[in-house]
Amino acid sequence: MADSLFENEFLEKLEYLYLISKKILSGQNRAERRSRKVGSGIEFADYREYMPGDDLRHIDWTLYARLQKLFLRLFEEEEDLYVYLLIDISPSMRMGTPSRLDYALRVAAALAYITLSNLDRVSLLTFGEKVEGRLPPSRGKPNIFKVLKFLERIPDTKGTRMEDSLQAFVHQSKRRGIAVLLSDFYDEKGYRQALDYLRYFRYDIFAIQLFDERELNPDVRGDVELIDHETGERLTTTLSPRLIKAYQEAFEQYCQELEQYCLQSEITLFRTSIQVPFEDLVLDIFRRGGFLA
Amino acid sequence: MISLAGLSTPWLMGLGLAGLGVISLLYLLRLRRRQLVVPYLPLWHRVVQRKQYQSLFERLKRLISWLLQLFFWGLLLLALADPRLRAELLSGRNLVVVLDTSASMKAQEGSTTRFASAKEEALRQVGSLVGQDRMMLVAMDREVIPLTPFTTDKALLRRQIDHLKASDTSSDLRRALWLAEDALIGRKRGEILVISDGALGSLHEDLLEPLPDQKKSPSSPALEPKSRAAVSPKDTARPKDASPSKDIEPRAATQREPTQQRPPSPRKKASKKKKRTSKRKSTSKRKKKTTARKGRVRRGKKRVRRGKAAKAKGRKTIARQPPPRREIELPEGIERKLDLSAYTSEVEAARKLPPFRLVSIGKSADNVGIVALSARRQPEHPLHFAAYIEVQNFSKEPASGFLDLYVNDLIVESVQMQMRAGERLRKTFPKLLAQGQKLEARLVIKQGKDHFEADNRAYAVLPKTEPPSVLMVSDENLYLHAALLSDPQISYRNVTCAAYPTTQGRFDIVIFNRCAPPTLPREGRFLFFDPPEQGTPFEVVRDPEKMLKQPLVTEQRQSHPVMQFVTMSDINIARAVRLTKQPNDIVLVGAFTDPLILARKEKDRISMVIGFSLRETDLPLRVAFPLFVRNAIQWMVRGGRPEPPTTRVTGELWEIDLPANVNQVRIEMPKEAGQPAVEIPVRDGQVTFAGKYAGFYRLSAPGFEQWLGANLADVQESTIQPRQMLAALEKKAKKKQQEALRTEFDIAGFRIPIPRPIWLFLLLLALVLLSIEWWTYNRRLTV
Repeated sequence: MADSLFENEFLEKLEYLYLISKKILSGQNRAERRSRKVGSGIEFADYREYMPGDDLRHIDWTLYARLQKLFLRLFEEEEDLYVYLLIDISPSMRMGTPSRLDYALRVAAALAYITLSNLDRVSLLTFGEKVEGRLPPSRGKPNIFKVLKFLERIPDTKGTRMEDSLQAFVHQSKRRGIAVLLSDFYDEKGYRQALDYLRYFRYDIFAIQLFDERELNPDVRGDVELIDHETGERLTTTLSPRLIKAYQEAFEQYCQELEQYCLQSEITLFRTSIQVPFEDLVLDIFRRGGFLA
Repeated sequence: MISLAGLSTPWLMGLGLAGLGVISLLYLLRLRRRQLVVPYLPLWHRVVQRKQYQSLFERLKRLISWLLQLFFWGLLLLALADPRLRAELLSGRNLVVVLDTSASMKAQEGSTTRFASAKEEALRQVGSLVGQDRMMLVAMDREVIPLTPFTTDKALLRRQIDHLKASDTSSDLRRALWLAEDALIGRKRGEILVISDGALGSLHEDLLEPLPDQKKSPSSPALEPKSRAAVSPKDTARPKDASPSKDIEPRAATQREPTQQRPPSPRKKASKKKKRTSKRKSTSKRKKKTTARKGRVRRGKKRVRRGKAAKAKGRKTIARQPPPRREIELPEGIERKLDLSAYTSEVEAARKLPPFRLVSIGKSADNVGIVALSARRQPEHPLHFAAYIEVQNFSKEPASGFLDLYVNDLIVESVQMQMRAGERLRKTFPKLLAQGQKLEARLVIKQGKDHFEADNRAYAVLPKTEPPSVLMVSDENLYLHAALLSDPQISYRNVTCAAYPTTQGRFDIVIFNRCAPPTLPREGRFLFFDPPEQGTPFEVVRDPEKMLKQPLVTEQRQSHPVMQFVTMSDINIARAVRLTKQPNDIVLVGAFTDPLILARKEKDRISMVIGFSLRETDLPLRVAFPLFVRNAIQWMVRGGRPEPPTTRVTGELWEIDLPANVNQVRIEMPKEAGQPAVEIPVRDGQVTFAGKYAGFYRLSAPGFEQWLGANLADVQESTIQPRQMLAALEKKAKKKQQEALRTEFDIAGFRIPIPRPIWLFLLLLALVLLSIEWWTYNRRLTV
């Protein structure tokens, strides 16, 4: 899948990128990312008084000579980062060709590659009505193949229950990290509760809202029967230019509500159309948005 | 001001309500909606609910669409209602539909006949009548019969059209036009519509486009004037033409029966026309002085003047060929307008050309048919008949087949025919021993196209004469003996003059030679040769001083049956008794003012006198003598009537001689006609009847039966190629009709033409409305 998803040149570019976490999150293994944990790193962090049992190697003898007190030199320990890629695979994501899901999978694959390239841990989770699939955190570039294999086997789902799915996710994940949520945020019960769960459990949240411009400009006019792709619910109406305009306005309002919420909740939100080239999103938009560096 | 002339009000109401119901139902049901799958319906719910419940305009737009549809339907209905100006409706059209029922309309056109197509067209015309439009239906063949008066009763018109049947006669367009024009006198918005194939005969050359052949060569055989059944017995009588396959000279084909007038040759026509034109001019000058002229004649004068003016300007005028004028001296007090001959010659030329329109029916021109049949007794052998038949191929392809001759339905001759395109073949069948039998010629086409079957059969009835019993009262006269013996039909007995009073027996004819009975019976037929002064019904002077010496024959009544085939102009007569002509006497042969042979027909007695002795003339030595004797005997046996023709022409008036004891005769039509028999009273031993169908007619009365054969035998009718009206006349007629239809509004001095017909504009408006609705729908403005 790597070959089909990404070209070599693109992959090379991805290798220079890494995810920026606003929060310092501790990992298990030493890695290239600094953590708050003071340990055996290289970068000096602080001093503290010597306590019996401390490693004598870290005593600052120069300071002892000057102050006649034993102080221990503390270093910031560099740790790996946990990146959780949460992918909405509900039916609404599967509409159209290419679908939002296709787009989301490519974005997820790219982010996973970036993560693994930086010796961070990446974990993938797909959800619809519930958590449908999960790839445990893995580290190291060779694991990209596991990721891709996982992304190839996306099961079908019937609806969207983001709240339940993310609740299950936070309870199952022991370590915090970056939670990248790829979704259209179309959930009858709303997205707030779901995002709040992530917030409460102190995940660094990046929300990527995907939409399809074709849905905003349906080429059908006149009397139509609208069918909800997930629930099958029907609505008869007459599509007119005014109604379509009103729909576009309603969609914009919906997006603004989401934006407002994310702003209030310190959630970084990217809204992107799947008509935007995938490379632009990853190499340009994410970087400018401070998601990648 | 506006009235509806189309669909009736109940229909309009019904259709209007039905349309309202259907359109409303469709709008209520709405269209079958297209399905659109959306990812998140709650988002649409927000919009749709707001739109549906808040936007009254959206609902109104649907209402507008509904109203547009209703308006469109209303306009359509209004167009169907055919709104017209009330004034126009009140006057209405006066349409004369002349339906051609002549024989050529029987021509086959594909799976149907021309006549069926013509009837359909006539029914269409009936259907087009609206409001106060009136129609008069006229059937036109040789007779022109108005079938209905001007009427708005469509059912009556349809019934009449349904009952119409094509006949086997030619057509008389000119007479039909006269009738139509006369019927339209005093009526506004008159139109004449002729539904015909245009095969109307040479009488109408000035009205119709010439045939393609006519344009090329006027002397084409196809364009010869009509030869209506009509071959002179002379032509078939020639002993030279004994061979059945030998052609007769072309001149013979155009000759007519002795009773019919021969049409003038084109050159003669032209010279006559010139004369007529000059006569007409002088007549019109005379007319100007006459104040007693009325009606159409006055109108005619204008026409003549207009024609002259047009000529002076160098415009092309339409030449008309009125029949030759006969000047008749009218008794004082009788107005000249009653003079029909003057009417036809002058008034017709001066009449306005009727604004007629010709609806041409048919396309085919392929036909092979019998154009002439004549049968007659052969003079050299009275028991033998000779039949003369002409067959013509009118198509552009060669044709072949057989010409079969039947006598009483038994085939007696069959000749193979090979004809080139346009060729006319003439066949003679001599020595037919078929006295009193029915003769029928049938043409069977094996190769070639023949779309007209009516002329594939021709019929004749060969007359039967009973052998007359003759009593010759004469002292020995070998000439008379020889003449009577030459006819095997005649049985005679000879007695001397002295023995006559005691002679017993009943004889058809008594011939007296140089003697006469003391008292002539009141009834009987008597022939006197060289009569004495007493005993004959004629005034005879035998005084030697007063007798005619070597009289010169200067007069001979050739048209009389007795003088048929007989020439006496060069006979020599030593002397003759002086006869005095009485008012009822017919001078058969005369020498200046003195009759030499007289015939008299009284109520019960027919007598003839030859005023010279057979021994004092060379007549008995001539061929004419036995013919004369036989003719005289036959004429007297027939009661002084000519021998009935062997064939009759359909459409003509037949004068049929019948025995004196027949008071009423039943005439049965030919089987093919499918018409009922008719009973006709007999007057003066004669009945008059016009048969329209070709075939054998049976005349019967108690103790009497007679057959007649009638034929179409008309070259013009067999020329079935359809023809159009002259373009100039058509243009003229169209212009006239347009003038009649022009109507204008007078609004404050401005004359604004009213669109006509209004329904057309309504329809256009409806279409515009439909286009707007379609455009707004597709632009989603009204959805």
